[in-house]
Amino acid sequence: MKVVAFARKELVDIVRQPRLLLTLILGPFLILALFAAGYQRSAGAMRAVLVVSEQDMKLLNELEDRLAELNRSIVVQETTESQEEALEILRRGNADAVVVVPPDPYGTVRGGDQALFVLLHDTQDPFEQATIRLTARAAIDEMNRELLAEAISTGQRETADFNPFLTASRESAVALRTALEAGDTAAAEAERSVLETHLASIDEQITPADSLVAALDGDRPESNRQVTALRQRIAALDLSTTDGTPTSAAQEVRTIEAEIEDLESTLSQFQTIAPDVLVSPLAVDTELISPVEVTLTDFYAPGVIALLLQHLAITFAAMSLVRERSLGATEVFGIAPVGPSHILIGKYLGYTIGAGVIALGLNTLLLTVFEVPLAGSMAAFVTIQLLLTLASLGVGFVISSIVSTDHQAVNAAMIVLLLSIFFSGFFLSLDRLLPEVRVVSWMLPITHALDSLRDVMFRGAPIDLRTWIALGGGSLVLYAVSWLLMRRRVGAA
Amino acid sequence: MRFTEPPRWVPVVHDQRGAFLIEQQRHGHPNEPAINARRASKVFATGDGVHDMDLAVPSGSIFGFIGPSGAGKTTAVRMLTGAIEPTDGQVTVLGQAPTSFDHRTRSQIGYMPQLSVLYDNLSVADNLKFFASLYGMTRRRTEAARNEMLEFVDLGDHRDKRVTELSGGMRRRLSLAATLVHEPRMIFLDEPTAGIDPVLRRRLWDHFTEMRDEGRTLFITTQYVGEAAYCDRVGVIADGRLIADETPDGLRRAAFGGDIVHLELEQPLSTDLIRDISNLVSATACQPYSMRGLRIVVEEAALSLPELTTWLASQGVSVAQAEEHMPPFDDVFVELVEEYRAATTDTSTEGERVVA
Repeated sequence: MKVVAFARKELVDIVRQPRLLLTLILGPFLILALFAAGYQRSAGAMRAVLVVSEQDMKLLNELEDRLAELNRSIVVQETTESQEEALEILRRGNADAVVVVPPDPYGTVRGGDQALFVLLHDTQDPFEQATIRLTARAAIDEMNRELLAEAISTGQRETADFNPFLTASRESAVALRTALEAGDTAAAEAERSVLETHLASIDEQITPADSLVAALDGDRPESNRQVTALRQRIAALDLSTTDGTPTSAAQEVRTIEAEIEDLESTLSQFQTIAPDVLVSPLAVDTELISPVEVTLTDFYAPGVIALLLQHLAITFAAMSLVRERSLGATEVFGIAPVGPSHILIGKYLGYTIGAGVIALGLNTLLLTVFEVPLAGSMAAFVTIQLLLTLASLGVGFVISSIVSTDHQAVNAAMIVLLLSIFFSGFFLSLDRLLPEVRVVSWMLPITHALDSLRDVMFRGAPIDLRTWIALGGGSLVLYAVSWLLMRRRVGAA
Repeated sequence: MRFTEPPRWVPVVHDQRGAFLIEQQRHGHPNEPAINARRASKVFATGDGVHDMDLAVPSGSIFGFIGPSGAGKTTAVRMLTGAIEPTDGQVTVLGQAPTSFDHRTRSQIGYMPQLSVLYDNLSVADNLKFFASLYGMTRRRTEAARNEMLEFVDLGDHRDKRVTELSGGMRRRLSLAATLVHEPRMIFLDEPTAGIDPVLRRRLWDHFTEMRDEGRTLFITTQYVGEAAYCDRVGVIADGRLIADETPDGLRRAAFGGDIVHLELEQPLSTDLIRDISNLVSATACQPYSMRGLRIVVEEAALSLPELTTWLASQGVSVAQAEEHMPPFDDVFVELVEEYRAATTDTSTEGERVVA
């Protein structure tokens, strides 16, 4: 009866504040709705000022064309020869970045060095800085790929000229072998001469781009060196015969024949593969194996539920005992036949029911209006929130037993809220925190609840043992601590 | 009356007797004091608090505890209710040390702190229900007691109002109702009538008297000195020390050294006549207050008055008026406190002189 008296008092206290209830249910819902409606998945194009030296102005159109092809991630706002002028535009806020084009970039590359583009910006936000770095890297990678693809395309056109020579070389090699096998030394000499002429033609025309052909087959030497080696082996052939039987030279020519055929095949392959594939031969695709598709709003929904429940439970509990003390009620309770258990269990009961009403409203809105997925069981979904509420109430009661005033209680609740935003995995993944710092994360009830809620809602998983131990066991420990602290307080009231 | 040391006429309960009383009370002896304090002190770090309080409040009586603001009234009440532990001495209430009241004793105590302990968002009726529930009262009993209390404190028409909608006086009355709703046997009320209009105050005191007549014990602190008249015994506290513990009449005598008689003659007073009157009634003080008026402090007015009027008639002195003067308790209180302070100042000055 005494426990129910406390529970009823706290519940009536909450229910008699309809505006508070409405704020707690509708507030987070509206915030999430606004976030979903207003969040831009991709940032707007970066407005850049190009700094190009006078002698490179002829490159400008080409650069602008290339930048224009980058999914509009960088838009050239203005072009100037003066870096100072560009920086002034940046400082005035009329541009997001200044791109300093290196002088004679192609000449630098031909000289064997990288042509370094410098991107200057004035963004303080570390996340935006990272975005700028990624955008710049993506832009330069894309431009590099385009340049390479163009080079390869040229290479493919040029190597097409080798085809007749390679065919002729292969035919000459066959004729050479036939002559050798027939023991016709004179014919063999003539065919060797023809074969050497064809290979020399290829050797003279081969370009550095042809090395890409070799890269298609890791075991092969580069094409030009391969052709040179073939020529050397053909020149070294001993064309003399013994008793009209095939010599070792014929065997060697058979090998050469096969190598020419192989070279012919590889070249054909090189010419038929798209340049884009050759530039980026490896690609990656990611696939989510969870049973539901999770949007950004869905992803943050468990965090909003958990954060709200934890914060209101901690605040209610933290304020509760302080308020009783400042009111003088603790002194009355100390004289009345009620113990810390009556007070605490009653308050746990009242606040849990109150938080349950709020959670029911918020969950209904999120699951029906936002259609946030719930792949797991409703029982697990509710149980996690119940455990979170109990653990958070425990934190609140411990705070309430330690602090002396309302202000201290509110400040302590705010500090837990801040800790929760940064360390619970609400915004930042826990993997990004040092293991030592993660201790703080795991001390917060929300960390366990959030992890478990996401598992239940998006993966359809059951509540894991760690959550039971952390939230369930934690609740019991916090209750025991609150009870001890309260007994001391009530005794000293 | 001058004090050279803390008043000696404060009743001191002797060790053996005190031990006996405590033992008897534990077994529920009906005639033993409900409250016993022997040299009970609660001294805070600043040196303030209550010092060496000796007290014996009989069961079924009203004990008024009067003192200026900051004198230690609330500290004394908190010590008696177990909210704070004495730093020295011994306190028992209903036969038990307050810091270790058992469940049964707690159920028999009602405590109304100086500040109203009420929940703003709860209605008048809900507040009463909550406090009744703390004492494990059944729903039916709560309902009956709640209605009775609401009528008693004149809040029957406001039962559904929230506390935020009540005036200061109404809150005080509700707080009193919350203290009494479980029908306690031992009641501590810390300034229950503060902020309550005189008509209702009178009603409350009538009700306190009724409760006393039912055998309950009331320990009431008040700043309304006049309310001392309603009490069976009155304790006066100043600077943390209990300087008087008397019946209301005894308090008057203690303040002025005896009963006061006002004598108004038809003729002017002469020095010889004043001396003769003083000698006749063995007056402790005899002071003219006008040409024909004389204030005489005597041992007992009821005996001295007939003796005086008879003698004056035999002397041919016409008496316009002769009556016992009942000084208001405000004067009694001021007199007691001032005399105590003067005495303690004298004592400390003398002490300094000796040391010097």
